[in-house]
Amino acid sequence: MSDEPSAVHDSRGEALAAVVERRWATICVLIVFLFVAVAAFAGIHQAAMPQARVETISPTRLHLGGEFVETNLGSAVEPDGSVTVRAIGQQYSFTPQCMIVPTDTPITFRATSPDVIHGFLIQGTTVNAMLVPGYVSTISARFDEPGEHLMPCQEFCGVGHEGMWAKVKVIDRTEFLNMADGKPRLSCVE
Amino acid sequence: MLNSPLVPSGDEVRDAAIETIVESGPHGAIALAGVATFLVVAMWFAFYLLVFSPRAITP
Repeated sequence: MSDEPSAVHDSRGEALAAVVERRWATICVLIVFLFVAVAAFAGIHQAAMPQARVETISPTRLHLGGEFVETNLGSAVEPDGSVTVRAIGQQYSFTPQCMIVPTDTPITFRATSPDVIHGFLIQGTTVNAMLVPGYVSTISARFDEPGEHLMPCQEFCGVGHEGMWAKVKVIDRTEFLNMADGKPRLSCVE
Repeated sequence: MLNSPLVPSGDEVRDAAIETIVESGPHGAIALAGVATFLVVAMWFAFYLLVFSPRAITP
């Protein structure tokens, strides 16, 4: 039976291959765990977080009163030194058309839509949210460098969608506070 | 003739050589899979550290 030595060799080769396969599978599982751990860290560490709460508002009465009435739109300095920017996106423009924010300051964008779904995206940043009628979108941001960011609507909202865009102008914090002195709300035109 | 010992044929010699190679382990497969996996993991981390994290932390 000349097959016997060959069978022994085969089984040793097979055993070795099984060990190598198990080790490789372990390595693959560990790599998957590593990816999941890094993604979990990103979420927990606030690097990527969805909106934490749902806030509703009547889309038919935005212009009549409350937080999103026209005189209340724009940038407002809060008592704690942070800045809140309120805005509306509607077919086919954003109000204010140019928002002004300071550098090195926690910024909160609060925006909504009175008609259809629009997109709130500030180019070159992670600010990217949907403006859904009936809901207030709250987005936190911080800008380190002065400059201008384009803010195009990134949800198809109708025939004028491609012309719907605004700008976010980031200026020095001191200059911003000087401009804001005595003014309840700020936009680029003031 | 019928009872004479079997002489290893060419096939058996070749099989024995293959078994010796198999017993030494799948070094080539490990190297290939290792390099491919390393490239994928390295690209994932490069994207995470150079694109995702900087944009998440600083708008």
